[in-house]
Amino acid sequence: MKISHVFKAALLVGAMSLAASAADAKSLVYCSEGSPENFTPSINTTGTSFDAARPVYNKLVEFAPGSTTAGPALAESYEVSPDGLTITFKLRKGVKFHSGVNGFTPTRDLNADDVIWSFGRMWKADHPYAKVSGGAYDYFNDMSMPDLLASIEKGGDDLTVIMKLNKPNAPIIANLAMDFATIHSAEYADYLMKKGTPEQFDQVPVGTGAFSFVTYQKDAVIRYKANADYFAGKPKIDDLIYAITPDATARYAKLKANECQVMIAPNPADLEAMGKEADINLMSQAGLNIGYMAMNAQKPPFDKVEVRKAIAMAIDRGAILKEVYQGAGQQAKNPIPPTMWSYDDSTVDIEYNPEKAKEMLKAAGVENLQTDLWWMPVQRPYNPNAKRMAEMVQGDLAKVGITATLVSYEWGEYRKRMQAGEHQMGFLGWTGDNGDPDNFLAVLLGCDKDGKPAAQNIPKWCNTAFQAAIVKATEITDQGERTKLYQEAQKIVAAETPWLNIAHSTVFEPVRKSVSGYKISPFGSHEFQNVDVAE
Amino acid sequence: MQSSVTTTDRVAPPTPWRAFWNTFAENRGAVIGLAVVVLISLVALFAPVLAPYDPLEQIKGATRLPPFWSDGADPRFLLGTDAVGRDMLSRLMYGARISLFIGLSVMAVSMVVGVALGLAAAWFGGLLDVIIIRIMDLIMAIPSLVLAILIIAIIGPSLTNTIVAVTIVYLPRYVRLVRASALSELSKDYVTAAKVAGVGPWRLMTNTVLPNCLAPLIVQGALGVSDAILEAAGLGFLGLGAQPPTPEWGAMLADTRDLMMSHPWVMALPGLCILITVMAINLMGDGLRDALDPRLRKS
Amino acid sequence: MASGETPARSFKISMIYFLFKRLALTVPTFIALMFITFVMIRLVPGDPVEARRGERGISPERHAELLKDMGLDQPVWKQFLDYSSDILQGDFGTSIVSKTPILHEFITLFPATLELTFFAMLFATLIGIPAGVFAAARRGGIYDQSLMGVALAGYSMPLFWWGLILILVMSNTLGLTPVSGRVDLIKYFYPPVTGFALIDSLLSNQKGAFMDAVHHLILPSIVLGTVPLAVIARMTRSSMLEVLEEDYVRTARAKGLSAWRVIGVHALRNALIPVVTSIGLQVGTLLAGAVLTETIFSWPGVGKWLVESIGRRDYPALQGGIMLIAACVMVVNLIVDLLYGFINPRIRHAK
Repeated sequence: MKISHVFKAALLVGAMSLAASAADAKSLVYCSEGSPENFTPSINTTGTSFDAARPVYNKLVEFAPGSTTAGPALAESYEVSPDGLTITFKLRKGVKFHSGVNGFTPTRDLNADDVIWSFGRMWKADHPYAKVSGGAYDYFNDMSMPDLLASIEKGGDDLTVIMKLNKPNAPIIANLAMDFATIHSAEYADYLMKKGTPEQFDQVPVGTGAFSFVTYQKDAVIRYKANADYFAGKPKIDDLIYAITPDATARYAKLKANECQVMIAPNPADLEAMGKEADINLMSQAGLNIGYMAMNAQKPPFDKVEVRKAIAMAIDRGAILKEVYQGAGQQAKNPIPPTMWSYDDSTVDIEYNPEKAKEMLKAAGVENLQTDLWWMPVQRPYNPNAKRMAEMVQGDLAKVGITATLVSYEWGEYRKRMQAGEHQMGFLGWTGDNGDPDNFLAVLLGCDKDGKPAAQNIPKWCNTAFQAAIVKATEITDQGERTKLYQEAQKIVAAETPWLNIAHSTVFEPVRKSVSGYKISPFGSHEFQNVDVAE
Repeated sequence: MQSSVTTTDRVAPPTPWRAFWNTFAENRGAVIGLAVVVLISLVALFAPVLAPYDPLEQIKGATRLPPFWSDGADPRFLLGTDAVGRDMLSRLMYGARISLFIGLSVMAVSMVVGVALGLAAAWFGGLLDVIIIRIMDLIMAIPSLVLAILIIAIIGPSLTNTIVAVTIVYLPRYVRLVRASALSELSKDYVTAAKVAGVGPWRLMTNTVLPNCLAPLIVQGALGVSDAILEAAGLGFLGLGAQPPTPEWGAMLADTRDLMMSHPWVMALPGLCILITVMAINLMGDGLRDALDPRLRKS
Repeated sequence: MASGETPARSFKISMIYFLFKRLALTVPTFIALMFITFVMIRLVPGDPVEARRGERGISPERHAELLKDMGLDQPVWKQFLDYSSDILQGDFGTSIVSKTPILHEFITLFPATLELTFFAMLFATLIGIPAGVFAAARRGGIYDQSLMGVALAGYSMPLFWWGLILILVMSNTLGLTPVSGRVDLIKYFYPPVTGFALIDSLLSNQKGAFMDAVHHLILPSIVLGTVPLAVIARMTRSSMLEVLEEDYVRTARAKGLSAWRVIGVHALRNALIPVVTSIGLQVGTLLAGAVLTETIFSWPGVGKWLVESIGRRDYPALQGGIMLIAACVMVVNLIVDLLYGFINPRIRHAK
């Protein structure tokens, strides 16, 4: 049975690491919130799965910890041709893949074949691994890579990769720093293929990263150990452990008991107590996100700007920020967060004025409006408690004579129905992937050539002037010009109010004081290669 | 069971009702249970008069206030307020309405459907009997909460659907009880005699068989109310029961789970209400059982 | 009993007949269960492809392609036929989410549930039976009343609330027990050889690992054991009271044997027959019913897995999981029936 191989391998590796950890090894436990689907980022879409794969892998370019700037990683340098159509990557020399995981011993260092193999799996249908584990490469497709890529080839030597594009694309380097562009070992893939167990490729990962995979027990724990041959130097901790703890209260209790040292997503209500704990360092950073309440512009009376504005005016976001975010966020006036370049600070935010809202509704001929209000069933970084938020908005709307019925579905169903535009009003949000404004404005408010809203355009709002600005901005590379275009786009959004900007939440991560070198990622990812822990 | 038939025929005092009450009143726990149930029912019935606030009204600036015995309590809110500034006392009072409504509805529906199916299975026998009993076995083979969650997943979460799901889960108990009592009754001589005498099936069922199943059925019904309240609260806790802003106790508890560490009372109070209500009904049910049917005492 | 046969022989025959009859009844139930779970799961809105997406959404073409890969584009009747024939071959399918065979997932998770159930029942029995006996012996007294009051409270307990309160008091305030999980991850690490944390921790030879596993078991066992404890205590008491009324007990008393000796030697043995049966039936309920307890304590067992599978629309996991759990419950109930038939021969001739 195939599974028993994995099991045996895990046991073997487990036993080996056990021997090593006996001599006082430094361990760091991270309380994560869920089980990964597998360990190959290109076939995943959730942050939980990306976090689980990241210790093992590297990309050509990577975001420096805690920043949104992409810099060299496996590629020690890269060069973009003046026409923007050719990118030449120079790979780092002597990068070693993990040895001894799943019985695999690499015979060579990283080279251009691995890069070509990794992109080929997502791109070419005839790639030997294209269909393994379901073969869904959603991020690759969503970033329009199939349209964009002309070729990826070996350059003059084994360590040069030349990527050719069909058209210039301003955000491409940032896109390649995203998790889907992880570089795998072509040799490991061949090894498993020969063994007849290719699906293990996605379950027992072998990469070049700071940690190598040890074992994974579903819904319980993932273990990694330090990679002594890591190209940026051996990490300071010896064992990295992900303790899978879905409940935020339980995570906090574990952190307090020093059962873990870093935790994801605290309850906003517990933040105050955490700040007072002597052993806990409550780290925070403005998140690269937006939480909003969409009003479906294709359903009357929300097709009228005045109605949307009046509703926006009726909602007390100050109270929401206080009660739902517990103050851990910033009231939003633009769809992109203020830490992102091109943010338009001149936008005047909508005031809270229920009296005026009532008048405006009356003037627009809206009386006794019955609407639905959708709330998402899960906690997200941009919206810690949509149910509570919905109850507050419901109360606010009642004061201006609008009756809102609360609606929710299972998370997958919820997004599907919202994307289909079944809602009248509803909550959703977004966390950025790569720090480019295009990743917010085009994805969340864009429409296609025929004026049909993009799937993620939840307000189902299309505006030709806005569309023209954001399309033009991707085709030029000069950041000054792009900034102007994106600011113009933000002004249009402010005037039209397709949705009510609620908040850019602050991301909090409580960390034990014994931990040093940890940085919060603006993309909500978790990285441990530079982290140290004092005994 | 025959004895109760003969008691109804007897004219001399004490009347059956009186006799029942005497036995019931002997059990101190049962009387306390009854008193608490009556009290909760009154609160539920008169919640609009008794509650100091509208249970849905959000009072700005008065969120997460502690109850009166804690520091920092506000005298306006006896039991404090919840995360969005609604009066806990008012919400708990209205919550009693919802919980009792769920419990009684589930009991009523399963009683009617259970009696119908149980009698049909017992009377017609054969294939119908086999089918009904197999279906009931099936329902019982699936873990009750998993089955309820599956049903809710299909028909969507709401107060009505909670009642539907919980009713389906608890139906087998009623069906099996009625069928078993009816079968034992139908095999008795007086029923055979009545059949021979040409008494129609409908009359036979309503006049002889059913009254004899009544005692265990009433006991099952009383305990069924408390079980239904617990099951519905469990569903509410998983977010699959009544939807916000309905003040359902299970949902109130689940909604404030994030406040467990920082504001424990917001979570503790609805749970306490569930416990007290269910316990009172169970106490009363025990008393009913002892008074109505001494043979059932075993379980 | 048929004439001409020895009692022992007739007993054997009737036992075998009883066993076969019960087994024969189980088969159609199982097939119907297969059908019903299949239909119900298809009726749940949403599909596994959608359930796995982030905010990013999916194109309709890609969606159709993925459904096809999972075999979900086939007509439903064909899916059912494929599914049934697979099950008959012992193949419960592969989880859509984790890509591992359902049977393997189940076998990995089931020991956790079994371990928890075992300790919950141990807790319930060790406290429930003595409490019931004691209450019966002091019938009507203050101990009887308060013990039965506590038992009734346990029986009426909303488990999710009870679990949270215990965590709040025992773990957070007093720091006596761990909050959740099965093992202290930073101190101990041992491979899951048997899947039972207690056994694995002993096998691992790590100092303190066993006690750590015991520590993690305490709170969940108490929470899961609360209802059975109440049921067992109440049952023991009433069964004991009944036996104490029997002639032979009266005789024993009349002979001048001490009250506790009468209770301990003569009454208890007979009183325990229905209690043992009820314990058996409770085990079946617990194996299946640990959903809330496992959720609250992040206990990696079968109940939690099933509920999460509904959320993820993991059809094969749900189907296979429900079938396997139902099969376990049926087997446990069958064993209980057989045992009961063995202890109490009257039942064999009923019906």
